[in-house]
Amino acid sequence: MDNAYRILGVNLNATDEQIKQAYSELSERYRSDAQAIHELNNAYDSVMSERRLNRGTTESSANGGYPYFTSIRHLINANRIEEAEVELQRVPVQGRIAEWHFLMGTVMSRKGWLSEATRYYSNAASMEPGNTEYQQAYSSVVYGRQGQAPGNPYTPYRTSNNNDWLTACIVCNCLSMFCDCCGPRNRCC
Amino acid sequence: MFGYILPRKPELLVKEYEQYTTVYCSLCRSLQKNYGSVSKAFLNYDFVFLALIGLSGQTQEKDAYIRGCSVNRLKRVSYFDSEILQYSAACLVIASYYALTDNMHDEGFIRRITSYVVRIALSLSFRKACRNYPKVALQVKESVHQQAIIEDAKESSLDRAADPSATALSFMLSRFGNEDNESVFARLGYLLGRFSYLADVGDDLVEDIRKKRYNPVLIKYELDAVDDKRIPKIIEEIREELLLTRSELAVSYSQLQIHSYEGILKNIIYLGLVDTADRLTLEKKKNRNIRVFNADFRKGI
Repeated sequence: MDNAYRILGVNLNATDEQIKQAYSELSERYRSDAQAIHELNNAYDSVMSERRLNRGTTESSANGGYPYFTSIRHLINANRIEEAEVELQRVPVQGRIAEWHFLMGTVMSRKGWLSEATRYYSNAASMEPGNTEYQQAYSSVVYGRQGQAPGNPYTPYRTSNNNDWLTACIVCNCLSMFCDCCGPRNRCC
Repeated sequence: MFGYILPRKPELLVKEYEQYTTVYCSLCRSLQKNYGSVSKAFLNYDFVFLALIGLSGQTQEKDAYIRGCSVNRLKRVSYFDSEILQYSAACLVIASYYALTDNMHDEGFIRRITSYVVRIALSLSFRKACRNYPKVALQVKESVHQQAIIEDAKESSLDRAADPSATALSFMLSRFGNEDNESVFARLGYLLGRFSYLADVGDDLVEDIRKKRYNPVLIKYELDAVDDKRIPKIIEEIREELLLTRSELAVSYSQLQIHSYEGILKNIIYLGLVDTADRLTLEKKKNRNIRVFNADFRKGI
């Protein structure tokens, strides 16, 4: 993690804004170097996701969450999944609040046990419908089950409700009302 | 178990298709050269994908030589040699040997005898593969052992049942990573193994009911009749599970640095795997042997 901060050239207690600024400056500078950009992106992603998770911890502890969930979150962040699972299993049944289900879902997801992960995320989301963290985790699983995949390069071909295209088509249609210089009408839509 | 990870052919560029066949033929040639002609019969798409993932880290696609195909002498094929192909070939031999061992226990009499004979024929190649890559052999053996324990315990959880095969593939793929991205390769492998296992569970569902073989879904839903009305719904659920696995796979894939064969890999992950999942919902097995030209082929049947 320290390495990621070093790549971005900021210190550990820099604010999110400073990190964003450092990231955009560096990505401008190394625009042509694919290797450097890749490292930079990885560093930025890991720093930001760590901060996001930590923020989740402090918020929920402030709301009267169980303090040991914080240490479990740290274990998950450090990729010590098995230890985190053992710790979670130790929580007594009455202490298994929404956050427990969410963390259990995260552990299962990291292990690759996706059907268990779905179950736990769904429990967490239904126990605390107002919590965006749990809702996001659950909806990303639901989207996955519906066949969506991040970074899919093939989707734009199939769904033609892209707004840019629509505007282009309208302009084209309007033009062809006056002349057929850009091809016969309705060729593209 | 095998043959679920393949590209959607009509969407490949001609160049990509030729590269894909080149890797396929090269793997075949590597099998022939290192493990003899019996092993060639076990060549399948899953291990071509394994080889492709390994080769994708190289900065350039390799140039290939043109030679006669070793199965059909009149056909001209292109091939190249690489350490990654030799490794994939060894993994294939080891996995196929254990798959045959598995068949010897679950199948009917004739297939049992056939598996036994073929296994003897493959045993020399298997020993050689074990000598070359002892760690892989050990891991696969361990996974087969775990799988047997799970089957004896009549495990009903899909996650638990898929775990051994997923772990085996995870180990095979993790070799392609360096210390930075080894965990990404391991996760990619885990999800691939899980995908193959679940696809197999869905594909063999009806047959497993008929032959009373182990299948985690049968135990989970207490299915025992071939014409149970819940079957389409269960298949749909397995399909969703496959799609979720593939979505997580896409996340792992996007964390890798791909230098070559990018088009083919994207095609397999974003289209080929979806086709595999969709094909499960088709009713008869022979309907699955259709060639997909249309993305919405599920509606056409």
